[in-house]
Amino acid sequence: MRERRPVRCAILLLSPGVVWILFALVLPSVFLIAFAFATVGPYGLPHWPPSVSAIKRLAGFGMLGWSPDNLIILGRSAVEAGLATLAVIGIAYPVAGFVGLCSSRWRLPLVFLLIAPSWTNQVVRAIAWMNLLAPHTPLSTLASSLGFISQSVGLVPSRFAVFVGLVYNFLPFMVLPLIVAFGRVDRAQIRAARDLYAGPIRVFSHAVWPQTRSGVLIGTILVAIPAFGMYTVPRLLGGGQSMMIGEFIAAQFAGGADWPLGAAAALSLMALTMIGVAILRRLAVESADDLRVLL
Amino acid sequence: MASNVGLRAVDKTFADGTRALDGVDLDVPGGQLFTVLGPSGCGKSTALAIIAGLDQPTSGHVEIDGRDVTNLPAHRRQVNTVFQSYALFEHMNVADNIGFGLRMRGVKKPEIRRAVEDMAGFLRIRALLRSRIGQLSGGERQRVALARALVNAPRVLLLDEPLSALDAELRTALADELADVQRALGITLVFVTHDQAEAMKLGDRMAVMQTGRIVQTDTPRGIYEKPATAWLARFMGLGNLWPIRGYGADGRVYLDFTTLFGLEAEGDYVLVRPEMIALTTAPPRGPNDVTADIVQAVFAGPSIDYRLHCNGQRMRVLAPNDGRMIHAPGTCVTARIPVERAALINA
Ligand SMILES: Nc1ncnc2c1ncn2[C@@H]1O[C@H](COP(=O)(O)OP(=O)(O)OP(=O)(O)O)[C@@H](O)[C@H]1O
Ligand SMILES: [Mg+2]
Repeated sequence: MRERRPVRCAILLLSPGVVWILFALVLPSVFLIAFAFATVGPYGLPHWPPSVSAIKRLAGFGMLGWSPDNLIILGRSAVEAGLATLAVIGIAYPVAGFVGLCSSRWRLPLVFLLIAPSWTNQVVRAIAWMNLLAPHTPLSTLASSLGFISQSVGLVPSRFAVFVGLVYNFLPFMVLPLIVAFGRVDRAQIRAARDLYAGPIRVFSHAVWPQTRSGVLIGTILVAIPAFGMYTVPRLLGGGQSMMIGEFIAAQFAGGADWPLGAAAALSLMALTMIGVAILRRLAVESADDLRVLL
Repeated sequence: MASNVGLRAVDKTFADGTRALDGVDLDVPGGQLFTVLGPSGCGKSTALAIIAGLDQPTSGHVEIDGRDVTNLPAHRRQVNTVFQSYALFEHMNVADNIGFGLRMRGVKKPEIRRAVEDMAGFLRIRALLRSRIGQLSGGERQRVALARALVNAPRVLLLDEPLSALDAELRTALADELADVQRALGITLVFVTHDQAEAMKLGDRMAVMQTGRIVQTDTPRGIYEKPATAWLARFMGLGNLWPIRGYGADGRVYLDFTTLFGLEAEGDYVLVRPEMIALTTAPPRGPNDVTADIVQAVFAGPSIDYRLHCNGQRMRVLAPNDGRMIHAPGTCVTARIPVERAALINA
């Protein structure tokens, strides 16, 4: 009787989490996989018997033969997300370095300024960019006078606008982990490198970068994956010409409904994401980073 | 090989207004083990950083071998540091840590390997060369940090409290070893510590710092026998420091609890070391004998540490344990104050 108490207690304590995982994670995943292997019925709803027709259609095998359109969408999403992530790293790294090495008096106000814009809904922010990049705005005028676009078009909708929107949207997710990483940098190691004859560039590459690399990896996970499946930004700034996978999935469950195709696309998104995480995990394990705790 | 180091009127005020160094003059003779002693926050690490070129003085000069190097960047000074926290590169293994300085100076790989292995052999950490820093114990880290600095054959080696994180036994062992290393290599070694015994035991010469200033620079014996200020005497834990209340005819000195005869110089305090006072049960005979009550007697192995009261004044006596009698608390004894070996101290 006595020994059973802790066991019962543990079950009781764990149950909310277990229930949550069951209903919010396991069950939907089971449905998703099931739908992805169903046949499409009337109104685009999934029907049995199971088949791989949705997967085949996603890969581009239709009644009219093979077309790469869906794969192009998938590839474009990966490229857009990758480019946006690189740009986010390029902007966030120096910004976070400045903030993280700032005296603590200035750090909080600066962090506040950096994350304040993200308290506005992302739809609102995307619409704001629509206005900023519209024809006859200063940015569009500048771009057309430099010859990048013709006079009347404006910068939106375009792949460039999607890129700008993604970078803007995800910047805080890279900046914050990097500020934490920079704040934890052991300054003594910087001094040691200087003491041991390293000039500024090698102080950076041997003493600063190794201590902040895990921040970049965490930021990449937080940016690249959501950017890959992003819906609002490409929807509002891409104008349908440069559809990304998130938009594609949403379209299969609404408008011209085809649930099995949508489920198959979502499944492939998940698979690609997992491959990405596995690669990052490899990087983290190789460098014995504290990131291992996370992955 | 060994260089002498000088600080000339060095001030250091940090951006937040903290005045870490205040007119510091220091002369470290070449080839010696020089210790810098001072309480926490007195500016010891700052002084080392300025010698190494990792911090710039607000005013004043740094000299190495008589040459003004104040504006020479750290990587152009033949000075290396063992940092207070060791500051080892966590993402490199031990061998890469030790070889870092040579690598930065463009030494060829096989040569680096040989130098690293020799140094690791010298400090007996050869077995650790492939280990990650995270796996090392405190003592091992200390050796790696020492090797990383020494392998560059610096003319001056700065050590910032390298032993303070270690347990007492390891501490003594490594302190002896450091002194051996210094003698073997003949380099100039500046050793910072806040441990009085360590500073005295290791140093050929020592400087004592207090809130950004150097209070005294001398041999350990000189500082022990004639501390420059009362603060220093107290900080060194040197013993009985009694304020002088006045002077009388023929060398009389009035203290709170007695009058001493035959003191030569003048000062604000008289300092009498506890190990120099003799205790007897015989009645007072000489002019500088006083009666006192034993309050406490602590058995400390080779010596007995007595606390006494004498007309309301506290007194400490360290008597050799000669295996005979230990005075019990409550006993009244005679304390013989050796004025000829007392020091007069200014406030
Ligand atoms: N970068 C800095 N900015 C502002 N103040 C500093 C800085 N570095 C040190 N100080 C201050 O300067 C004073 C001297 O510091 P320092 O580190 O030299 O002391 P220390 O004698 O080495 O002390 P410890 O024995 O604790 O290591 C301290 O009051 C410290 O707070
Ligand atoms: Mg210090």
